[in-house]
Amino acid sequence: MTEETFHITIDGEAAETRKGETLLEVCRRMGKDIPTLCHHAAMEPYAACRVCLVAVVDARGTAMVPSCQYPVSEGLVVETDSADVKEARQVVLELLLARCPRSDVIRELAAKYGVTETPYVSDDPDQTCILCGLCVRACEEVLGIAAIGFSDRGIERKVGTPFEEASEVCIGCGACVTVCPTGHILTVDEDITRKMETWNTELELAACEDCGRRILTVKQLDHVRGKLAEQLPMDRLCPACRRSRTAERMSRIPTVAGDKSPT
Amino acid sequence: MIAPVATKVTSAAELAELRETLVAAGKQYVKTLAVCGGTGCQAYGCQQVIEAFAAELKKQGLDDTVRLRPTGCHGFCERGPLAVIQPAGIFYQQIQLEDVPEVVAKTLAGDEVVERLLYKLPDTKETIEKEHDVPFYAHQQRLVFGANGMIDPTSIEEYIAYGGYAALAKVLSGMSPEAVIAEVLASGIRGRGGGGFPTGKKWEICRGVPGDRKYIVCNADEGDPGAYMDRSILEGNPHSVLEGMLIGAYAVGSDEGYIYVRTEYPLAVKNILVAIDQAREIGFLGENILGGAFSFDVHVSRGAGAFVCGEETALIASIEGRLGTPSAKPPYPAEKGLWGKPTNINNVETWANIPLILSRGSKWFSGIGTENSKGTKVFSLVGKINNTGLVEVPMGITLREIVYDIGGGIPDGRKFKAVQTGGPSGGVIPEELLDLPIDFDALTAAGAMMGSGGMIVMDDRTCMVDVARYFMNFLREESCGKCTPCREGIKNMLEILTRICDGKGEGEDLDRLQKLAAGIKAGALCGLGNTAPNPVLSTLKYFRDEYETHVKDKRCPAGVCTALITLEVVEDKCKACGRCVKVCPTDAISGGKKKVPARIDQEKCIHCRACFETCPFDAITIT
Repeated sequence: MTEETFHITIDGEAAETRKGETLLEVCRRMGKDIPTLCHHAAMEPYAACRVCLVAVVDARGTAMVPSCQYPVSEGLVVETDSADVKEARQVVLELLLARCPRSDVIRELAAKYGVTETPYVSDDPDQTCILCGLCVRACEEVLGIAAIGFSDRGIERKVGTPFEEASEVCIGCGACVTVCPTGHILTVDEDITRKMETWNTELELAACEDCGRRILTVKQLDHVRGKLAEQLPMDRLCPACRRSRTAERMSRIPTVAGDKSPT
Repeated sequence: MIAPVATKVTSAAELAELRETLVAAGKQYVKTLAVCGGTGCQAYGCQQVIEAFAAELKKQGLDDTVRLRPTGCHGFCERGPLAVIQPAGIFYQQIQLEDVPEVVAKTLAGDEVVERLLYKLPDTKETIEKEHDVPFYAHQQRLVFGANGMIDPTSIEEYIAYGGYAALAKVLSGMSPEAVIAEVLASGIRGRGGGGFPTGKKWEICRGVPGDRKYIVCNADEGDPGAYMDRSILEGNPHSVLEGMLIGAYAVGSDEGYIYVRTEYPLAVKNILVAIDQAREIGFLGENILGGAFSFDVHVSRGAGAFVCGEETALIASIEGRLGTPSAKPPYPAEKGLWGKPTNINNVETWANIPLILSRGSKWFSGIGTENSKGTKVFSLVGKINNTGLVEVPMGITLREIVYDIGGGIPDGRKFKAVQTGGPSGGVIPEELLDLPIDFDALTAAGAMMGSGGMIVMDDRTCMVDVARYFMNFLREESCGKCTPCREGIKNMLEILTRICDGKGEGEDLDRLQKLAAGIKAGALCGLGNTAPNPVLSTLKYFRDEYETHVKDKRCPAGVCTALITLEVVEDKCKACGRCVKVCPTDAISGGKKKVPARIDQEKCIHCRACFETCPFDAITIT
């Protein structure tokens, strides 16, 4: 069966697209600069931050749609750079700038759209969470752990562990830290402890059996082991020690030329 | 009460036979006393009245000849507890416990009317005997809601005797699913929940999507402030909703349905659960309904009362046990809904219309209403209106007829100012549009919307900036917080409105409101956000001068915004009775005794209005 293709127009340019693609995927392939904050290729589209808005034009008029989530269909006419689109993104950026006035990521993105100040009041000038949900989704959708989630509603919405107590299920993998676009989630390794500060959770770091260095939490190690059917050799070593042990072992393999081991 | 049916009904013929038996059994009763047991009348104590009637009928030996029927809501909530005595149609209102023996002795045992319980016309004081002659009812067309007064909602037998499940039998006796959809399409009915999407079209799309499993959902997450029509239909006629869902399920090819209802509606939950049990027992829910191949069953899913869960995708998430937040469309629920399966969602009132359309025909239905809005609509008429209650009117009726002919106008001789329709997603309609024919498109064109049918009437003492602020505050509380424009935008619109009401409005604030409104409308993720700015946009459209007076002159013309009012004594009217002096909490009033008129010290006055409310001579003005 041949793959279904749809012909669409983006900013006047014709584009051939495949069924199931999103506008964002097509736009990026075409080299168009569409900003995103809540989008991550490893996760399902979420369509919440609204900075990726583009305009879909049809007989009924122009509608702003989130390009990260909007599926292509035959004959779609899309604008990614019109005055309407820019204005829609500007309003969103003004609002985000009021929420997180000190976030560099937000300030830079806003400045790109000519928004250097916001007419709206900031409740908490130190706020850096934009509620994009990437951390929550990485933890739940990708890792299947769901240590964190949303609580409250509307402007009071926040991300955290249940009742903001130390999480029993967090494995301290730090995926949330990695995917957070604004650097809101804080973590620090101190001695034998990983502190997931934003989640009020502390985890024990496992020691490498060779060098004693601590880079993974015990829980994360167990989580990874639990996913594997067999036990991997050297899974209690840090990558550096694993490398050196491998090198050492390889050095003991007899060479083709002679059959004595190197000294 | 008709004796419950014990056996299963396995064919249309058996149903017809059962109906005849039930109707014949009902003939033992010479009279029927239908007492409203809706939630409004419950608040007036109708439960005790119903119990008193039961005891009194027994005492006077009438329980074999007079049927006492506790019913759902009759609509005229302003006048509860209500009762109608059939077949004469005598309408009693504001019945108290002590009236019960007299009503039984005079009107039920005899044919005498208890004059003082009749409705009196407010102007002429003339009494009206029959329900259908009371102006509140006379101008209505109660197709969906009328049955509420004719059946006990907890009795499937009464529903059947009234003609219930006949539409289902008709559909299952030879109509193809396509024919059912064609009939619903031809009727022109549009969704009563808010959007006004053609119901038949929705069914057609869902039927056309391939899938081994499809779901039917009844959206009973009614959440607009002041709206309670869906509640009253579920409470008063739950079987009509089930019958509609059964027909819809057959049409789209579904065998499982959900009713999503808020826990704050305990009576609605109770009555629908009773109805489901009865329908299962008799065989209208379950396998091989009426002896055919069609099977269908329903679950009740209770929501925790989040307004956003009325939005289809959030509702689906909530039924699935996830956080009730919307997700972007497309895909639409018809393609990918509950548990990823094609799902057809309609609201309570839409479902309740379906049996009528199928039994009386699309031609009959499409004969009612306007060109693009067919049938009737139930509105909840609340606010500054004499006859608070639920009214069902044909589409195309004017607002003037609803407010004045049915609603009886504005209390206390005040002047009509505007009506808010469509709840927090809707907008206001000003006096100059009182002759607007009410239908989906006319309301949208006027900047309001049909919504689920809330109608809040406002008089000249209502401040439109304050109204907008009220709705934005509601939406701020109810926004789920997922998308930026709705979460942050509504918060900021509310802050601007609060500032304006507090007398701190700035020159650019109105432009800021406009810009934010446009940004939220265009950029929000779901229907809640897309329509959230409507209360502000419509009040700005029709009452911009009122906003400007707040911002520029720092004055609230309606005298509502506390920071912007001045209370003064009109010396000519002041009788120096001293009452205002006594109630003033800040001792701001001097004089007011020994024939010296009272005087308010503006420095000390905190605008609490205690003097204004207390003055018996209207000598205190608010400007």
